[in-house]
Amino acid sequence: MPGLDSNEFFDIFIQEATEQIQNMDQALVAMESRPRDSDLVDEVFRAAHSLKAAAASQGFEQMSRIAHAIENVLDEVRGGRLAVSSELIDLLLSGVDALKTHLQSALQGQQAPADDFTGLLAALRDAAGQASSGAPCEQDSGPPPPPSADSLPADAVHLRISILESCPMPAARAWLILSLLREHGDVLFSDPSPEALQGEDIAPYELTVSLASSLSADELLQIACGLPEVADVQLLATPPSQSPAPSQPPSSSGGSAPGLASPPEQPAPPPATPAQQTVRINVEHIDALMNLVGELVINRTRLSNLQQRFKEAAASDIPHLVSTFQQLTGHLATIVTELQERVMQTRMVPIEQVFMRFPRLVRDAARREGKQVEFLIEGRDTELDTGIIQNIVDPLSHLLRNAVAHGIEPPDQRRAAGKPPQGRVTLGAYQEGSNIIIFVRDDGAGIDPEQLRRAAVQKGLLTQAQASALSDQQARELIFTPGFSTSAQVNDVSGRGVGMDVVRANIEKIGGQVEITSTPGAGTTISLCLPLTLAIIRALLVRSADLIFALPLPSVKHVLSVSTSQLSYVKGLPTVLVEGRVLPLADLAHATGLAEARLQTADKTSVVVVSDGHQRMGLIVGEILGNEELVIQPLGKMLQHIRILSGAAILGDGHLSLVLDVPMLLRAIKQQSPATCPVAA
Amino acid sequence: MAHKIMIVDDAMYIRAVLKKALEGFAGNLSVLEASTGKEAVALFEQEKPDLVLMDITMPEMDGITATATICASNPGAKIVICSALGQQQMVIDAVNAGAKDYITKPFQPDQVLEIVKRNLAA
Repeated sequence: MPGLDSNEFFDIFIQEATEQIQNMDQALVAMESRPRDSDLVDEVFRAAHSLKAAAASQGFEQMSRIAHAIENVLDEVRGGRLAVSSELIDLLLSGVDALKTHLQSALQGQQAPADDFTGLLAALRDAAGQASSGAPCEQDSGPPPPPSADSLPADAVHLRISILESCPMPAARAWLILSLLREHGDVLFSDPSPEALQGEDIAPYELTVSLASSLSADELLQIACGLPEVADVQLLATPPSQSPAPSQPPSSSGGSAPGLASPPEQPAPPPATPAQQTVRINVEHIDALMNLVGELVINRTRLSNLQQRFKEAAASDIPHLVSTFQQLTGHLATIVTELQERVMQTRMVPIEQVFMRFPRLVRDAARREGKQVEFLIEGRDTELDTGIIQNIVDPLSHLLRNAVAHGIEPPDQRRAAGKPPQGRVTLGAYQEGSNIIIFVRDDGAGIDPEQLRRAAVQKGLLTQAQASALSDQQARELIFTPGFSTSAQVNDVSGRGVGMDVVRANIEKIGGQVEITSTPGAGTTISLCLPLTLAIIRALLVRSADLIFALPLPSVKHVLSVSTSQLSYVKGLPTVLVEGRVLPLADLAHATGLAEARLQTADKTSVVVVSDGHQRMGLIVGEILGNEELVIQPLGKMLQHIRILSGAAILGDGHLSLVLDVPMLLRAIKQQSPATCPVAA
Repeated sequence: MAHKIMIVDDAMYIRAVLKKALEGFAGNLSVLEASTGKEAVALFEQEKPDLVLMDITMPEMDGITATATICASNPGAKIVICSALGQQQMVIDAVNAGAKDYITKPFQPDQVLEIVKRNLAA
């Protein structure tokens, strides 16, 4: 008997299992604060139940066993026999973690992870078992008890029915047989009794039945033989004994009835191929795309017709043809714009996909830190490019752990400050123009600029004078300095002081910016300003040393024309005074290391003022070409290590432009010439 | 004439596995799918399938309630319960609700075909 080709379903399995595990995670965390919410219990139960079956079908036996153990615990909770406690949630979450580990190893093509989960399984079984052993037995309201064998009528037919050994859940089969026999007569007696079948966990492979029927004994025998999963039927001459021997599986399954005698086969082992990255797309999107493609095809035909007409045209026809041509290109532009938007939409996924993993993280962090934290999520439907979504998980994890560990105060400290003992952390997202803002807000102690100034001096990062000169906002920005951490001790929750600078670097890498606002005593908000998509940007095009560079518009502040006489040199490096502030300059071609600086050759120099959100700098360029919407293509392997470039793009006229990563560029310039210190933005 | 079979399960994976197994059926089959009990009841009334493979644990409406609802207005409905091992009592409830047979997960394709054949013939 061939097993199902489980390879075919591997991707579906992974996709659904991932969702189910995430749902369990989320619902369990919510259950801790709403232990009486039966919807949550049902949700975890359903997810565990589905996963159990799917994992078993896919050949992941241990995964199936863990899901089963979780399901059993939830069943006890559902039945009111087991109370939800933080310890129980801890145990169930460890179970969910074990499922995650299994899923991970499945993704890597392994049958099961090397870890030992026997302790966990035993703990889960204990939790479920203790509950049921201590619980009062539930009474089933089954059919009334059958008459005793003594009172059976003389014409009753007695049958002993053997159920196939391979039959799963024989009590259910016996029940089904009884219910099918009832279609042909009255069941006067059965062993096991209907009550035993319904109420007890038994596995009867033999069923004795007494029937009163208008059919003959032979006819009833025939009917019973024809029932599914029946191995053998015997006609008994006398009423069955009231106290039969305990039911045993028959030693052989003599096949007088059709059925399956072979034992179930083990499913095929999982494949070794990794799962593909997939996005679910609404069919409406695809239909809309098809429509647009249809319009493009019509347009192509009209254009080639027009081309033919141009070829054959007399001079007097030209104005008319040009106007048709303009109409066509106008139409084409509309279609392509819409096509572009639609295709972009297929890359957009609700941010909930990322957010839903965080309740667990916040809960664990709060428990470890001994803090009371209410976690709120806002704007979960906000959509973001899949490429960006993958890049914000780590930064957000870090920000949330920070908010719990360093933002929210311990309960007694909050009480002393006149706040409720339970702190609140909010994770939210919303769209603002062509940006998505994601924020982490806490109502904790806030960031004290004075403490940061002191820490910076203590660590030797700043002199006392430098520290005092910083504005409060500038002092808060100190937390983004590499190696800067105000936390006195390294802890498990918020990492090892490699925090905020890494967060900022990761966010800037995807074209985003990090902002911080804080009010001492009232809390801190850290906002990530992210581009809607990574794939298309508007950029200012500049020419420098015969290369065309693209500067993403969000980083460009303004453009200046500077005459050589306005330049002044500080330590041999050029600067210019703009609005009363000294703006350091750097030659773009030189800074990129792609050509020599040519600062002295022209009277007037074009300068593009760029900012990474923290510092400004003027980039000297040869020529400013204008701005254009660009589709960024990744650089090949050979060029990927050039960190100041985020990609390349083909321009409308067919030229190639190199897309600059402005934050990385500014950092590179700073390293090249430490004296060129960009000024604060 | 093609037989109409409705697969009811909230898990796409299980529906795919069952559908695949049904590809081995010797006659003509058209397969309908529903992902909740509620959907199943509505689709049954609309399509009157010859056979239903019904999961038990589903959101919105479970398979037992769906079976009872369908059988209340369609006494001849052929519903096979798809259960996990250990759901013995639920299968009994489903039989009381009107289910005609049951099959256990994980599914073996031959087993699925056998159950479908014998219940279509019944």
